[in-house]
Amino acid sequence: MFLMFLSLIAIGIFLLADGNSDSYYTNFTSSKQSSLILGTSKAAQGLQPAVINGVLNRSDVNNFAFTVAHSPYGPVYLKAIKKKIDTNTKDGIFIVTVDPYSVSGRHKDANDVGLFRENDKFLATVSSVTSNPNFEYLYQEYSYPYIYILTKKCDYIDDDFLHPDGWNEVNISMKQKDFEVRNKSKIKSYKKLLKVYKFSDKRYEYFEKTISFLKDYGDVYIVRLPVSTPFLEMENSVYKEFDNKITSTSSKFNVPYLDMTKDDKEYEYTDGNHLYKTSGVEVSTLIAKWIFNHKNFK
Amino acid sequence: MLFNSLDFAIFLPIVFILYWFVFNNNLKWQNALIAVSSYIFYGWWDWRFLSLILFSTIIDYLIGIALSKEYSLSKKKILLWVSISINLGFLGFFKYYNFFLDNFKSAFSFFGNEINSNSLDIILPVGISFYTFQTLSYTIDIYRGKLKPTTNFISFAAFVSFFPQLVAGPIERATNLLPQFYRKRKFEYSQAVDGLRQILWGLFKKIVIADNCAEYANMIFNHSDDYSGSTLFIGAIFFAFQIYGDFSGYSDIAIGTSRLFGFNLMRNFAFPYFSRDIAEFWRRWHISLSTWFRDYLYIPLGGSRGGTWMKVRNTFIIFIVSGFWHGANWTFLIWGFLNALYFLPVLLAKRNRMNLEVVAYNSSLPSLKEFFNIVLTFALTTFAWIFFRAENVGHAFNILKEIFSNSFLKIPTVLPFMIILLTIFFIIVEWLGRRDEYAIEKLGFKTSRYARWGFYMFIATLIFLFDGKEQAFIYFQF
Repeated sequence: MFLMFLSLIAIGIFLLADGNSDSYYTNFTSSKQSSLILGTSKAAQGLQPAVINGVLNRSDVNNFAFTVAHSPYGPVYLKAIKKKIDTNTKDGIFIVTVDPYSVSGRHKDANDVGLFRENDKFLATVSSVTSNPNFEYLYQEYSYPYIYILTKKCDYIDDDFLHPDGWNEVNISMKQKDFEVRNKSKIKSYKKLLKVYKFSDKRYEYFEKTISFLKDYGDVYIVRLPVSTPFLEMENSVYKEFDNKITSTSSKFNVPYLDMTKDDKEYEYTDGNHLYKTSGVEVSTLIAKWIFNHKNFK
Repeated sequence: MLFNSLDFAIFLPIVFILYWFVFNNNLKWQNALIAVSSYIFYGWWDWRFLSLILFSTIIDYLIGIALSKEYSLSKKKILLWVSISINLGFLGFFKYYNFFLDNFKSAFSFFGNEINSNSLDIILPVGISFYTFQTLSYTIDIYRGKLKPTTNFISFAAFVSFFPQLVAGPIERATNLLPQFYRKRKFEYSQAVDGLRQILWGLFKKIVIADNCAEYANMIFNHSDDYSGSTLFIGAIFFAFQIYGDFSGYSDIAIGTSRLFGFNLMRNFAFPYFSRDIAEFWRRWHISLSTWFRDYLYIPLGGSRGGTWMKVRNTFIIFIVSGFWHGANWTFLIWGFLNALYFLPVLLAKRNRMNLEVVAYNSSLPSLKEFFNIVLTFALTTFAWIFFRAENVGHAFNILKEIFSNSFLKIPTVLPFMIILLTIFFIIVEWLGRRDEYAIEKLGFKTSRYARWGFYMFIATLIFLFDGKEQAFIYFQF
């Protein structure tokens, strides 16, 4: 009786989980997809499927990007992508965003797959990325107290919402003072990370494997998203030959590559590293138009 | 294996069923099951360190037998010191090696001599301080003639590794726990229900209070430079509740689990935050460790029997050693030193046994004086917790500097309404149950059964709702 009562409460609350609950849950509940945006939190927050779908006149682009901790390129992310993709797809669009961090590692041996830090995180531990509701995710990986599923629903000033199409909308104060606090702290934390980040041939190999896999289901587009100047300098210091390397991969697989880092000053960032949503609209539009042009001239 | 994990939720019923339904009629098998289960429980974390427990168990088992056969006092002493040296040797190596090495290096470099030696990358075996003290009590008590050695190795192995209290206490005395392994245990429904009730309350303390307070305490302590004195003060209070909820919650789960198997462990916490002076606080906080130090260190050193100097010396020794027991860091030593400073005036004024009864035993509320004393004792304790929690001594002083500055008058920027509300609820329940072994032991017994079960369900619901990421118990690291 006691356990039954508790189970009912648990199920009731789990059923209420949605895009308010955290920044990832609905990515584990949406159905199999035919077009995906891939990458880390820069893509998750910066690229808006609704805008891209609007320009391309389609409705299937879905954002399946997480964070640099969860979804750098590697066996875990590739396996999750394989689970997420609708294998009947023939004309999908795959926006594969990349930066030096997403193909780097933090261990002494950056190529040791066994040490990749996403190995014990949700993309590795949750078996399904398409179950609705996803009890496994909620039980195992939901990182807040479950009361948040209720309270975040009622929190109208919530700063974080995961749209059903996978876009992680972040609403925070963009006042100069608030931005500076976030920017300062982000730069500090990334400077620390720089000391340990090393380019990983193994991750790069998986980045290429991801492209190769996706090519069977449609067109792949490689994009490097813009970041503010201090972050760009830090990114480039992780791997100086990064752009040349990507350009050569782009030719090798015959997929277009768009480097948006040259226009970094055109956009607003929430912390210097992630695009603010208004700039996200601009960047998403530009990428969609670039894809549109490519498709038409193909 | 953590008590608040799915692994344990599966492990416990399996062991319980085997214990009562398969091996019910055979004490030997029941004890063997406890020993094996305990090794699985511990090995779940890191099987390599099982060899350490096994080695300590064999050594103390053999020394115990040898002590009982030896009549020469000098040889007995040698045997005792062998046991002490081996047990404390392991503890010293795993816990204090790097601390001493680093401090020696700093001291030599201060005088211009550099020592070239690297710290070792040592993993501290979980619970080593707890089971080391437990086995030490066994050999010391045999040496003192208070206990007869066991010749039953399985019982002794089960006593040393008894899984409910293996990694974070209570630190049991052989005189209390070991004889329970010799007696046939009978399943008693009321005892099991009581055990489950205590587990429920322990889980509430750990998951709802400790883990949620931890979130804010960590946030404030880890970014202390960003916060005003008032917020840092709030952070210290959150930590006070975190450590109490965490450690006493663990003890409740341990005691409750033991009751499910027919064992009675000693009480480890007795509502310490309702203490009216620091002496009372130390009679109510981590009782198994305080009494261990009292019996095996303070009294052998002369206790309070000598003159004033001896009282002062012994008080400082016991508190500083207690601080050092918690960890190899100067912050713990200062924490111990501060508590000695608090305790000493009470001891010297012979007021250390003023408050032996539960506060407001015959009334529902404390008197104004009692209330003031409770608040003062809590404030002193929280002040000392700042050192306990800080990364290093400099960090603690920076926090204190900010707390004792004008920024203390600013409105705190971290005031989580929900957690404060839960903490108030927790304090009220603890207050209502302060006369019992644990807060909800008899709470609601005078009301209807439905109301009482409704209350348990409410507590269980809160545990579910506020269950965040699985957090290890703080005292595992000690």
